Amino acid sequence: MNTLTENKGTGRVATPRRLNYPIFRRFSGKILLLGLVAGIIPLAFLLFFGVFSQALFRDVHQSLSDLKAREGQRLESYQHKLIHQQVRQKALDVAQDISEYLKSHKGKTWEQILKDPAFREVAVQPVGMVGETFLLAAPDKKILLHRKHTCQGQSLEKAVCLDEFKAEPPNFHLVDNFSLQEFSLMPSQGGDSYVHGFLVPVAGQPLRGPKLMVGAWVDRGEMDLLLAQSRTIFKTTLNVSETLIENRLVQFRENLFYVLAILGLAALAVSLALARSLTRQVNKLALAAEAFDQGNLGYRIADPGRDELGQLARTLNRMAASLNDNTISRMEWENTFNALPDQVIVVDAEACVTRLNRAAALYLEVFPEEALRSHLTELKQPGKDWFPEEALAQALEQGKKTQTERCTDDHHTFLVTVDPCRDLKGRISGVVFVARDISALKRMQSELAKASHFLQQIIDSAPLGFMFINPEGLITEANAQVCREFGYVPEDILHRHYALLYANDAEHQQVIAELAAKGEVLARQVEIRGGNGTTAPARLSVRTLTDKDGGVIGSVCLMSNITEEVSLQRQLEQAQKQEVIATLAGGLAHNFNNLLMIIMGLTTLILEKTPKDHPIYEDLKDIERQLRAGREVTRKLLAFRRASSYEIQPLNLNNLVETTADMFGRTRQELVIHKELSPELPAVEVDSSQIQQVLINLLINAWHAMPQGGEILLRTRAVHLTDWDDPNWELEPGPHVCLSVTDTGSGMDENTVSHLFSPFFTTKEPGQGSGLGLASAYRIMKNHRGAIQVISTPGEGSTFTLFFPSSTAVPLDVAPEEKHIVPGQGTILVVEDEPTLRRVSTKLLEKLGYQVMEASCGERALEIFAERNGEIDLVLLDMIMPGLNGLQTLERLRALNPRVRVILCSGMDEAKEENLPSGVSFVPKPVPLEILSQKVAAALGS
Amino acid sequence: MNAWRKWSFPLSLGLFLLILGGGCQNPFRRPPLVGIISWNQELQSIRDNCQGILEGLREEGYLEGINVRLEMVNAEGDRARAAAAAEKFEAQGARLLITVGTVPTLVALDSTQGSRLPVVYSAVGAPNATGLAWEARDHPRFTGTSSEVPVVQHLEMFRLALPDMKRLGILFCTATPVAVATGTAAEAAARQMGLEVVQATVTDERPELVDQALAHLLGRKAQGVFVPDDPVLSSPKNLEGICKRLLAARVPVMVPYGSSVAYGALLSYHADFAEVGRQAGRQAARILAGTAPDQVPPEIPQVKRLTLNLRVAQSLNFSLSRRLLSRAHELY
Repeated sequence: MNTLTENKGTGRVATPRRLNYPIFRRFSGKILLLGLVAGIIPLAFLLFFGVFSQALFRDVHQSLSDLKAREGQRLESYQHKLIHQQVRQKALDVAQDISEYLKSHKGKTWEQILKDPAFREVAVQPVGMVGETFLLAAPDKKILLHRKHTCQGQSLEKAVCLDEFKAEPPNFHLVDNFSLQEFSLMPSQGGDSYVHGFLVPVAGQPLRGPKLMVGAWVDRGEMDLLLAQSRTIFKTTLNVSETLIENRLVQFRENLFYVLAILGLAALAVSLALARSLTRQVNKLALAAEAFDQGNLGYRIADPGRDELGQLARTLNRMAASLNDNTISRMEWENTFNALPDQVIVVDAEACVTRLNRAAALYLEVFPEEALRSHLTELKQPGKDWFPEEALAQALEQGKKTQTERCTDDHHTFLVTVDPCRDLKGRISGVVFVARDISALKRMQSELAKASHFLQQIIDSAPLGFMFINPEGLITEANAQVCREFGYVPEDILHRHYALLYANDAEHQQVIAELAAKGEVLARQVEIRGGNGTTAPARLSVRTLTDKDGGVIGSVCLMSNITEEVSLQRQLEQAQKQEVIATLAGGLAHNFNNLLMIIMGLTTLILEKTPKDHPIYEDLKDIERQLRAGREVTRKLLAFRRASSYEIQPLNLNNLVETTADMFGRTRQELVIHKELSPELPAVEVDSSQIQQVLINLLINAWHAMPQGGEILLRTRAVHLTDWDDPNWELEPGPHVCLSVTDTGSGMDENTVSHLFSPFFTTKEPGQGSGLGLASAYRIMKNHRGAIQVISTPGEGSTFTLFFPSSTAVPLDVAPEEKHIVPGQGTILVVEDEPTLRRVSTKLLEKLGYQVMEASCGERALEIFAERNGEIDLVLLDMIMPGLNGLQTLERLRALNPRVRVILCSGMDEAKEENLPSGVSFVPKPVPLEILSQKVAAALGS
Repeated sequence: MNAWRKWSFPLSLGLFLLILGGGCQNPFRRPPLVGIISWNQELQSIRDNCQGILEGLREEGYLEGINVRLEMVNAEGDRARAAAAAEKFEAQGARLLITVGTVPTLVALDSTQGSRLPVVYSAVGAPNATGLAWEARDHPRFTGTSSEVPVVQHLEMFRLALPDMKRLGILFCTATPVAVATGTAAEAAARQMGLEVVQATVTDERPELVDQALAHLLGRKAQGVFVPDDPVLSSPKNLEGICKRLLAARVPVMVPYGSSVAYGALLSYHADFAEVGRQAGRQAARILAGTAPDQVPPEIPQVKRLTLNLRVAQSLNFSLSRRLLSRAHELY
C-alpha cells in the first residue's frame, strides 16, 4: 500500500518498499503483470495436464516395456515348459514304444533290431517341429540312432556340439532320476536354457545289445521359431497397445494444443485488451491531468467508460468543465470588465482602489496596477473629477446607493452610480463606482428633443389633421388642426376610439375594409362627426404603420375638412347648370334677335313708307318701341350669359344691380324691389357673374324670408372705411362701394347669424336649400377682398351689406348713346344664312343708299368676293352660319384681299370689340337702322 | 507506455510459446510417410510379404494412419512404374522406402541414387547374386531382409521327396539376375550333391521358348525340375503351363515360392515371405525409430517353410515320407 509511515524521532516520512523496476513504475506494466498472472493460472493447469500426459506416456511406455520384458520372459518360460513337457512326454512315449518293441521282438538281436526300419522309425521321431528323439546307450550315453548319421556313435555332449555347431562340447547339468534324466547346458556356458533334453531308460534290453535309453531334445532353431511367433504376437500386442495409447495421448496433447492455443490466444487477447483498455483509461487520465496542468481546461476525456476509472474520468471532466467555466467566467468577467465603456472603480472600505477597469484607467491616465491600493483621492485629475465624495460617504456609512450626474471641466457629463458592496456577512466592504459618460447621450437627448419638437411643430402646424391610432384603435396623437377643423378639444378624442369620428357607420366599415385590403386608404371622402355634434365632409387618408419586423404598430391618419371644397364643388355644379342655361339663353337670344332684327327692319321700312298722320303710324312706333324693349331683354339675357365667364373687370355696380334686380323681379312678382342707387358710384373690379350670383343668393334668401311677399331695398353707395372690427373679414381702410340688400322678412337671431356662413347651414326646410348659398357668397367675397355685414333682428328683417374695394378704373358696361341715321354709297356684300334677315338687311342698306349683294353662306360670299373683288366696298358678315362661320369667312376674305372692310354681326353678342380681329367692326342683332348706318358709314370711312 | 508497447507482445508471446511447448503436441506434425513398392501383387507370396511388412511395423508399434503413413504402389511388373513410384516417394519426403522384390529394389536404388532416403528391401531372392548385398554394404541407407533360402537346402528337400532322383533339371529365365544367380547356384549345388544336372533357360516368357526348354528337359530325362527364384517363370501363368507340361510327363517340379505349389508343383522349400516381411517391417521400424540404416544389418529369412502338394504326389503315385510330411508347413 502507498501509505506513508513517519519515523519516530526523525519525523522523516519513509515510503514503503516498492518494486523499483522500470516496467513496474507504470500502470501499464502492472496491468500487464496482472493479466499475465491471471492468464498463467489456467495455462499452468493446462501445462500441468500436458506434462502429466507426457509423464503418463512415459509411465505407460515404461510399464509396457517392463510388461514386455517380464511377461515375455514368463511366457517364454511357460512355452519352454510346455515344449519340455511335450519333448519329455515324447521321450517317455518312445521309450515305452521301444520297450513294447523289444517285448514283441525278443528273438531279434540288437544288430537285427538296428537294421529294422520299423525300429528306427520308432526310435527316431520328430517331436512336432521343435525336437526329435534319438536312441542312445544307457551306460555311456553314446548315441546309437539319430536323424543325423554324423551324430551316431557320438557322445551326447558331442552330438549336442555337432547340432549346435559349437566347437567345444558343453557340460550338461544333469538331473538324475530313476526313470527320467533331464539335461541342460551349464549356466556357466551361457545359461542358455533352451538347450534342453531328456533321457528315459527303456525297460527291457535287446538281445546282445546294450541297455537302451531314449533321448529327446529340443531343436533350438525350431523352438526359437515357435517362441518367436508368440513373442511376436505378444510384442505386437503390447506395441500396438502402446502405440494406440501413445496415439491417444498425442491426440490429447494435440487437443490440448488447440485448447491451449485458443485459451492462450484468448488469454493473450483478453490480457492485451484488458491492459490496453485499462491503460488507455489511465493514459487518458494521465493525458488529461497533464493537459489540465498545462492550463488546457478545455481538454476532455473522451469515452470515459462505466467503471471506476470512467467515473473518475467523468469527475475530472466535470471538474475541468467547472474550472474552465469559472476560469472562462473570470476571464470573460475580466474582459467584460475591461471592455466596459463605463468607468468602473471598486474601492474598499478605506476608499482605496481594489480594482478599476481599462476605461477608468484610460480616463484617469493611470496604469491599473499602479492605481491599485491607491486612495481614491489620489486618482483625481485636474478637470476630470467626477467622484461624488458625498455619495461615497453615504454608501460607506449608510449603505445607500446613489446615482448622480456630474459634469466635469472637460465638458463631459457622467452618470455616476455609487453602489455599496457587502461581504458574505452583509457588512459594507467597499463601494463600486460606475461612471457612464452620457455626454453624447445628453447631446442626443437635446437633438432628439429638438427633432421631436420640430416634428411636433410640423404635426401641430400641418394644414392637415394628423392622428396616430394605436393597434387597439385608440387615438394617441392628434394635432391641433384636427381640433380646429372639426371642433374638438384634445380631451374629446385623445385615448378614445377612433370610431367616434365617423358619422356614418357604413363609411367606417368601408374604410376598415379598404385598409385591410390595401393597407392604406387614400383621399377617401367620409362624413366626420364634429365636436359640436355637427357633421362635416372630410378627406381621409389612413396608412398602416409597421415596425421593422412587419408588426402593426398602429396607423397614421390624415384628414382635412373639405366642407368648402364640397361647397365649391356644388357651386361648380350649379355654375355648370347656369352655363347650360346661359348657353340656351344665348341661343334663344340669337334667334330672338334675328326675329327682332327682321321685325325691326320691316317696321323701319314700313315706317319710312308710312306718313306720320297715318292711323297705323303710332302703332308702328309702338311696335318699334316694343322691339327696342325686346332688344333690351335679349341684351340682358346675353349679359346674364356673359356673367359665367369669370373675369375681373371694372364695373359700375349699379348696372349689375339693375340688371339682376330686373331679371329677379320679373320672376318674383310678390316682391317689391326698391332701388337706391348712387349715381356717383365708383367702379369696382369684380367678376360680374360671381357678384351677380352673390346678389341673387341674397335676393333668394330675402324672398325665402318673406314667403308671403314683401319689400326689398337695394342700395348702393360709396363709403370710406377707417376702421373695421369684424375679425372674420379683413378689410383694409379706404374707399369702398357698398351694396346692401334689406328685406322685411322674419329676421335672424345671433346664433343663426354666427353660423350663417357655415357650409350646409340652413334654416330652411329640407329640400328648399342646400346651405351653400351664403357659404359660397362668403368665399366669393373673400376672393374679392370684400366683406359681408349682416344686421338682423328677428321679426324685423335683415340687411346684408356687401363691401367692395372701390376702383379708379372706368367701367366697361357704359351704354353708347344713340345717334341719327347716316346714309352712304358703296357696294356691300351681305352674308347671312337666314334668307328673311338677309333680305331685310339688303333692303335697309339699299334704303341707306348702298348697293347690296347677297350671299347665303361663307363659301358663296367668297365666290362672289372673288368674282367682284374690286366692286365690293364692305362685307356685312354674320358670325354664326353653317359651313364657314363668320370668322373663318373673314380669314379667307382677307386671304383674297387683306384690305377688305368687314362688319361682323351676331345675335349672340359674344363678340366684343376688343376680341375681334383688327380692322373689323361689330354690329349686334337686332340693330336699329341708325346704328347700322353709323357702323356702316364708320366702316366705309364716310 | 513505451515499455508496455515494447515488451508486452514479446513477453506474452514468449509465455505462450513456453506453455505451449511444455505440454503440447505439435498438431501440425504428420506421421512419417513410408512408401512400399512391390513388383506385382499376383503372387500370394508377395502379398504375404507385404502383409508381413505391415505386421512387422505393427509389431514395433507403427500403425497405419496413426503414427505412420503407408502408401503401397504395385509396379505390376513395370520398371518405369516402380521408378516413378520411387521418385514420387522421394519427392513427397518419404521417411523410408520399402521395396518388395529384387527388381523394385534395384529400380528404387537407381531412382533414388544420390539421395539419403533409406531403402529397406524385402523378398529379395538372391542379394549376393544380384549385388544387393554389396549395395547394402556400400550404401549406409540400404538394408533389408532377403528371401533367399540356400539352394542346397532346396535341393536337399527335393531329394528328400525324391530319394531316387539322379538327374535334376533346372529351368530359369535369364531375363532377371536373381533367376540366373539362383539357377547357377542350383546347378553347382546339385552337382556337389552328386546329381546330374540338365539345365534349360529361356530369355523371356514366350511360350515357344518355354516349350522348347521343357522339351529339352524332358528329352534329357530329367527326373525332377527345379525352378529357382525366377520372377518371370514363377508367374502363375507361366508356372501353371510349365507344371502342366511336366506333370504330363510325370516329372515333379520344385518351385521357389510356397504359393506356387498350387499351380502344379510338387513341393517348395522357401522362406516364409510373411515372416520375411515382418523382418523387413521390424527393420523399417527401427529406422523409423531413429536408428541409422547402417546400424540395421541385412537379414536372411529366419523361418523357412516346406509346402507339399499332396494331390500332385498322389497323381505321380509318390509316397512321401513321414519325416517330410511332419516338416511340411502347408499342404495342398
